[in-house]
Amino acid sequence: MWGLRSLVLLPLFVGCSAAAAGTDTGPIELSSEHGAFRGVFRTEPAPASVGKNRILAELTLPEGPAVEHAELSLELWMPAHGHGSDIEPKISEQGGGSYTVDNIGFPMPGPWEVTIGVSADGNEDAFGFTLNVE
Amino acid sequence: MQRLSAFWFALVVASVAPLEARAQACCTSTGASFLAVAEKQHMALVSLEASYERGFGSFGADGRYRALEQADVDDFILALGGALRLGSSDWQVGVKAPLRLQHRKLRGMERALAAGPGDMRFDVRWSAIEDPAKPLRFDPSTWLFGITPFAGVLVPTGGSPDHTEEPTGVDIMGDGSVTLVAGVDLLKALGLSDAVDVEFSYGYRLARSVDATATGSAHTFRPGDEIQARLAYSHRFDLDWAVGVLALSRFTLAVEDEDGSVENSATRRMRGGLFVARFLSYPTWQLRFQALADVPVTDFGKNVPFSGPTFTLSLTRAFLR
Repeated sequence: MWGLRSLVLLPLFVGCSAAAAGTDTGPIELSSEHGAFRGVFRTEPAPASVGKNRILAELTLPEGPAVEHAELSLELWMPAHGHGSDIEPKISEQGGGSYTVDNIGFPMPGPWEVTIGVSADGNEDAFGFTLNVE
Repeated sequence: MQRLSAFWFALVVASVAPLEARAQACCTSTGASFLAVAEKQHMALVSLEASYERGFGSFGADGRYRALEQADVDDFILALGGALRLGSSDWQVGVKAPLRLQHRKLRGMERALAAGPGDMRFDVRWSAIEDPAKPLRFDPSTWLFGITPFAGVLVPTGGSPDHTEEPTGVDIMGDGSVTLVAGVDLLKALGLSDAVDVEFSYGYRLARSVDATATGSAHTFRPGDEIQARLAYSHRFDLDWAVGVLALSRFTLAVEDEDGSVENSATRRMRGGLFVARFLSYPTWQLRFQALADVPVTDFGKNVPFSGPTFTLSLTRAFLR
């Protein structure tokens, strides 16, 4: 079921209104919804395309230090068609505030809302952006 | 002469009329499907239709056309349909039941195959005004045209997008929502060999609840209503052969959720094609081939995940009144 249940690491939901538009190929830089973190996100391939993809995330605190040992979750949602994606992502920490989210499945092209939840040092927040999958 | 005109008119109409476009699931490749419609000389009609659809590209929310890369998207559809006139009246009911076989091979994912029923469609039609079947002249009595209002319901018997178990979405066989359709078909024979058919319909798509959050809570989702228009022109060469062209356009309004209208979720799709029809045994058995395709040019579509050609071969058995 594309209800995103398989993607839950952190039960956190960011509404559609929190999503920021992403560029097709460049990195996406933004603050988390409540300002607890800052993040830079890139996709591989760039732009994201139908099939399996990867997101590289670099997380910092607003003051600058890297966010380490965070728990991340991923939600995918295609608002125009009312469904998510039913493939299990693999999230791994690379060190220095860098994280890799592998095995992200986009079964069809179009705008996808991506919500990445972050839990670190007692803070929980989430990033929301839109990828135009080709 | 009048009897001969009626005879030819029946042939001309038979070649152009049964061409109604149907709702399309968002995630199937191209989704064109047509219903059998009994003409005035028919008591009933049964149709078996085989279609192949291939996704070659997509239209984004900005209307930009992009070719699909490293993605194989194929649908095979077998559909059984029929129409039955209610007694000797101008009313008829129709049904269509598709069976789908779908294939997906997406970059980095396992090849996937799935089969199952698609969405079923039920219709009722009323021939309010018959085309006078007179060649167009300066005489106003020849300017009348056939008017057939209709109403239908699309029942989501196919697997819906929010209940798929497959990462590739190969098991999405239907729209997921009940759609109530109302429309009108306008038919005009231009002469003894040519006919034009225009159809408009509006589909109201009911809201449904989907799992949309990580917590698994229900989320109300109402797909946008759909507006469809079709224009077909047919020319009959002789008793057996007819050819024609057609154009279809389908628009859906923006999706609605709890927060209101979802930005950039409206869709637009314009397709064109041609068909050839031949009576195998006049006037009961007819074979028909149709090719229909999207225009792979930016702004001829919007929010169409998979676009491409559809090839359909149908065999129809008519039962006369």
